[in-house]
Amino acid sequence: MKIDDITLLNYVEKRLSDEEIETVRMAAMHDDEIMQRIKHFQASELPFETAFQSEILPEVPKDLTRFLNELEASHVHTENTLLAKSRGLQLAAGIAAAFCLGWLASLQISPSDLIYNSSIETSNEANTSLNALSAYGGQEIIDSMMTYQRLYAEETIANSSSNAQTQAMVIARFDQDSERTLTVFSAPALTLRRVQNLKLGKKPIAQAVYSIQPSLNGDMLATPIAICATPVIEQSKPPIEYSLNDMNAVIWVSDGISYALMGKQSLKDLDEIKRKLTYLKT
Amino acid sequence: MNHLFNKAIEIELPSLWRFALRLSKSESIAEELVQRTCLRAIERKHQLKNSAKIRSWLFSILHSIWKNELRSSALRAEASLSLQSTLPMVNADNSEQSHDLKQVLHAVYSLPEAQREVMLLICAEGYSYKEAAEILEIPTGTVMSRLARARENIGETFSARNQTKAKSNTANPSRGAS
Repeated sequence: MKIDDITLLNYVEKRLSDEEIETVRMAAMHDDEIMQRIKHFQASELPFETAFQSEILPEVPKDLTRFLNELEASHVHTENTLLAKSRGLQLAAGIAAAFCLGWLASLQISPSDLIYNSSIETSNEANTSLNALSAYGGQEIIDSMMTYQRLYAEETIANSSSNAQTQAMVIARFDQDSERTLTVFSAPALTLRRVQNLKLGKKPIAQAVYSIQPSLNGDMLATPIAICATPVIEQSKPPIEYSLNDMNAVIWVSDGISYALMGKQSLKDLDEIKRKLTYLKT
Repeated sequence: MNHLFNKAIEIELPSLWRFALRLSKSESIAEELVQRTCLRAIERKHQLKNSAKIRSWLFSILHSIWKNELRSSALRAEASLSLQSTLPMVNADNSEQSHDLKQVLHAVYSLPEAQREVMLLICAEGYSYKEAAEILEIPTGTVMSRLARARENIGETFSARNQTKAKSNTANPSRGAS
């Protein structure tokens, strides 16, 4: 019989047969090391369960409970939307999970760089038509992106850290899948926190999430914004605005890629940010 | 069905939170970990074959996300804020019991991660060897081996501590009697 650590633990916990017990006893009598190890195992007979049960841990954060509720509501909403439209896209949670994968790069610019300059074509006044959106990637994709982006809080990306290698992989994968050249943007007062590949059905999507300085946010709460990119047929389309629930988006097409900059409606300066975007990497 | 599934996740939220906290030793990372777990679970709910096993299924998802996505950032965070450096807080009837339970927890949290997570699943969450093996995606024999090594390590720590205590009591009998 091989006397290993499992055997010794079972010996101490009296889970061996009489024959095995005798074998271990004999071995311990002739081997000080085995004897010593048995003593260690005996010393480890401690009230583990009681200790864990009595441990005082922080309560489940309210944000987490709220997140779960919102996630459920959003998921149901998205599923219903898809069913109603009889589309075969596999969206929803596939995106949801992917939305939380991480990467980052970091760039900080002063908010004073933000200067209002009106140039966006507002092809909607509250509601951009379905036809209009089709040239920008399609309403299903944009709705899905916005539905899940609204779940993001600053805490969601609080621990993201810069990883240029991951960023390069994300870009390479998107470029390969889409046969386009993805641009990653930077903007004043934004910090790029996470980039990842997503897929809706067979449609490749790249998502870049940014944290934004609270001073730019109307309600003073730091909520992340995102730019989602997906390949489209059109080579170029001017910016349009689109709203869904409490989310706003500015969407444009450049070099065959539709870019949707999205954030909560409490963020007043989404269009300004769009105009200040500069190429970080292509 | 969706409602029941979501309700089941909600019911397991406290245990997921507990496991995430103990794995990551960080509230912010634990929150991120549980968030991702919930998202991933909803994405993959069609993969859940036996609804009676939703708890271990969720634990498996959580552990996978921890191992593959968040562990490295957690280790960086741990460098600046480590639970290992402080004794855990416990609810106990008296200070002596409180001290003993803290020492037990401290010994577990000081284990190498592979051993610690086995201890967490089996001793804290009550999983069987087989269930722990499924959650960790390792053979049952490996679970048993890691548990044995964890117990031996802890025993070694307590043996040394007991010897020191005995010597101290011998040198100062009044302290030992109190």
